[in-house]
Amino acid sequence: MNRAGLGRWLVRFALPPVVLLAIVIAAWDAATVALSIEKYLLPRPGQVFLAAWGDRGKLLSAALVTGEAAACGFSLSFVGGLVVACVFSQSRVIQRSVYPYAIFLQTVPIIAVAPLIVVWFGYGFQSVVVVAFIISLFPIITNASTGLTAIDRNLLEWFELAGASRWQLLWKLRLPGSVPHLVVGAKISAGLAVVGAIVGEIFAGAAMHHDGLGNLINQTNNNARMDSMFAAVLTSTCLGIVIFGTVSLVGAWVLARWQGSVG
Amino acid sequence: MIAANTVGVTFPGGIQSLEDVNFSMPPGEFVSLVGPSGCGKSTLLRLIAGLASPTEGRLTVAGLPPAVARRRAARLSFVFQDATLLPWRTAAANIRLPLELAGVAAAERETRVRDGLWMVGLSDFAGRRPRELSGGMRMRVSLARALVTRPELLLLDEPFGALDDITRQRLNEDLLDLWLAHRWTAVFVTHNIAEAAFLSTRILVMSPRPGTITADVAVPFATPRRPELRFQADFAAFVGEVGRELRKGGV
Repeated sequence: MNRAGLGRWLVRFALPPVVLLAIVIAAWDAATVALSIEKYLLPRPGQVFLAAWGDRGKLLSAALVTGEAAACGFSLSFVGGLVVACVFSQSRVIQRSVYPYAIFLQTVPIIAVAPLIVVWFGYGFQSVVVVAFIISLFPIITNASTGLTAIDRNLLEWFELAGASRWQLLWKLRLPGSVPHLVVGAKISAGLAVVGAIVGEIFAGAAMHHDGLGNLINQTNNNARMDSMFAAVLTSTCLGIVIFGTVSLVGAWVLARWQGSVG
Repeated sequence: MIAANTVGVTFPGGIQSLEDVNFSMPPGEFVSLVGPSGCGKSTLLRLIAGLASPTEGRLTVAGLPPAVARRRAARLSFVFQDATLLPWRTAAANIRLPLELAGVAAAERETRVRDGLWMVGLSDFAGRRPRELSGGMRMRVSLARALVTRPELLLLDEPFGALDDITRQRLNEDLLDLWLAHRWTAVFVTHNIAEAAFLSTRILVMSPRPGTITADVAVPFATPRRPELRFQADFAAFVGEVGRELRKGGV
C-alpha cells in the first residue's frame, strides 16, 4: 500500500470508529457533569484514564497473567477441538453419539459449573484455563467439523479412485481442506478464550499467585474504586482485541500461504 | 477391456437413467460417448469407474467388476468436468498426489512429475497454485495428474466442456497426441460431436433418458490427425452424419 492508499484507508476505515469513540467519551463526560453522577457510580473518562495510568504496572502484569491463561485455554481448545472433529469425520456413529454432549458443554452456564471446576482443579491458574477452554472449545469443534466434512464430492471420488486410505484421505484432503474453516473457528474461539479467562478469574481465580484482570475487577469492585475498575475493564477489552488481532493476522498469513497469492 | 451386457440403472425414486446398454471395447481404443444432456453418459462413465453399480445387467472391466478391476487389474484414471485440483497444492504437487497416494518412491515421483508437467506444456508453471492458472491450464494439470500413474484406462467426463473453443481445440489436439504416444484405452464423454469426431476411433451415440446406445459409429479418419482436419468437407459430412444419428434417437 502506498502513502496515498494508506491515507485513504485510514480515512475510510480507521477514522469513523475513532470519531465515534470521541463522541461517546465526550457524551459520557458531559453526562456525568450535567447529571452530577457520583464517582462511585460512574467515574468521568479523565478519572478512568488517570486511574489507568496510575495502575499501569499492575494492569500490564494482570493483562499478561490473563493473556497467558487465555492463550493456554485457546491452545487446548484448538488442539482438542481439532482432534474431536477429526474423530467425528471418521465415524458418523461417534459424531451422532458425542455431538449432543458437545452442545451441552456449550450451553451449560459456566458460572453454574464454576464451583465444580474449583473443586476439581482448585482456585487459580488451572481453573481459569479450564473455564477459558470450555468456553472456547465449541467454535473449533463446529468449524473444524464443517471443514473436514464439507469436501467437494468430486474430490472425494477422485481420492476413492486413486485408492487413498482413510488416513490419507484425512491427512491429504480433509485436514488441509478444512484450513479456511479452522481459521474462522480460531478467530471466534480466541475472542471467547479471553472472555473465559476473565470470567474464570472472577469465579475461580482467587489464589495467592494469580492476579489477572478478573481478580483486579473483583478487588476494585469490592473496594468501590470504580475508576480503577473501569480501567481494568478497558484493559480486558484491549487484551481481547490484541489476542483476536494476533489470531486474525496469523490466520490471514496461513490463508495466504494456503491458496497462494494471485500473480 | 470393457464389456456391458444389458446394463440398466434405475435411481432410487424410480428414475431410469440407463436401459439395455450393450457394447464392448477392446484395449487401446479411444471411444466417445455422445448424447444429449441427462442421457446418462456420465452415469455410464461412473459405472465403468466403479463409482456406481448397475441395477440391471452386468458391466466388466478386464473381466472383473469395475471396482475390483481398478484395484487389481487395470490402472484407472478419471478426469472430471472441473479440474478438481487441491487449491493448497502447486501444479507440481497436485500432479504428484496420486503418486504419493500409491507410495511411489520419491526419486521416481519427481521424474514422473517433471515428465507430466512437460507432457502438458506446463514446465514453467510447476510452482503455481490452481487459482494462479487459467481454466485451460488447470485442466492440463488435471490431465497430467491423470496420466502420471500411467493408466491403462482413462475416463474423461466432459473435461473441456467449460473451456472456450480455442482452448478446447488445443487440448483436443494435445490429448490425441498423448493417446497416440501411450495408447491407453480412453472413454470420453461429451455432447460436442465435432470434438468426439476429432478425438475418437469410435463414437457411441446415446438416446435421451433412459439412455441406451442407438448407434455405434467407427470414425473413418486415420491417426495422427492434423488440426486442419476440422475444416475438411468429409469431416463436416461425418459430423453431420453423427448428428443425424443423434436426432434419430429422439433428440
